[in-house]
Amino acid sequence: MRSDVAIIIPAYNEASIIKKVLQEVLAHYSYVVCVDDGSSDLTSAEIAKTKAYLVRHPINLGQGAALQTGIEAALANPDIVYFVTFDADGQHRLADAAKMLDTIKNGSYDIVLGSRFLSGQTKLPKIKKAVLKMAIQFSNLSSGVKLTDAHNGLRVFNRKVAETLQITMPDMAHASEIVNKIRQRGYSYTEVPVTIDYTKYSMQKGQSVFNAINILFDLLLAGGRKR
Amino acid sequence: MIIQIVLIFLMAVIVAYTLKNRNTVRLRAGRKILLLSFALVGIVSIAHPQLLNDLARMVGVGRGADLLLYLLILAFIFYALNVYLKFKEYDARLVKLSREIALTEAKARKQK
Repeated sequence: MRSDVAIIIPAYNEASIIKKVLQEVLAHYSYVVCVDDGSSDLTSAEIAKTKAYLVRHPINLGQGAALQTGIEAALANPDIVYFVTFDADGQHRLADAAKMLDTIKNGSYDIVLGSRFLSGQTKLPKIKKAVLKMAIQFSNLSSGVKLTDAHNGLRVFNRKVAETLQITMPDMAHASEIVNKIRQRGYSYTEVPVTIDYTKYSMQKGQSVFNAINILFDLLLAGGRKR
Repeated sequence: MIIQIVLIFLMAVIVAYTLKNRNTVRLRAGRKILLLSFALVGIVSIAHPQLLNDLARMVGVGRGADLLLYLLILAFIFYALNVYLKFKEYDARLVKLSREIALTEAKARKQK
């Protein structure tokens, strides 16, 4: 069991599945921070039934804020060397996280990103794939960081990144914010092929296409505002 | 027409303003000065309506009322953007505060 890794799992209204996901993660990692982002269901109670470190937002702040809270909680633990962001809905695979931890250590990268388009695993519905590919293209052009998957929630990074990331964008724009910061802060990065398991449960919670407009607006207006 | 140049320039200034940190001492003072000058110009043009007509004619606008309308539109855009930015600032503060609460509560829970 590794004690130098923190698994950070932001959760919002995942009461039906969170306990199972957490127990699977806890079988391999002793330090799991699960941030309940002001859920209206019994997510917190379910998290409390496990050995995960529960942090509860008093109000819903968005996944980006939940990640930042989780990162700050993990940073308080001086033993943590690597930080892993992991989805609460069971879409991510622990084997992929383990692979990425090997990669970050062997290659001395600052941040390792999971890519579902490197592995040739293409169980994606066509529309979602098309919209995603467009979003990735836009991200590559606007951030200057060339990725094959810019919106993957499975990431592994070191303490330097954890301390300087400072996620501030609301809701789902945080994914783009992280990519932008890779270039701004000059992190060394690489992508690793991962598999996303699209279950019926996780599909109904996916992002709407309209949200892309919201994200775009937020990013454009972020400009040079003080962080 | 001169008015077109003026209006485009002012729009560009407003856009540039939204991209910078709006909380500097200079910008805060600037907004207060802007507010005062609006009040002054308002008072003067109510007292001497002909002034507005003359000014309008100078920049190529037919009536004083039309000039006033154009400036009002710009002023409204500026106001709306200010409100939007202010809300974003408050949101950020709210997030910080909530995070403090969440982390403090979590630590207390762990120590129980």
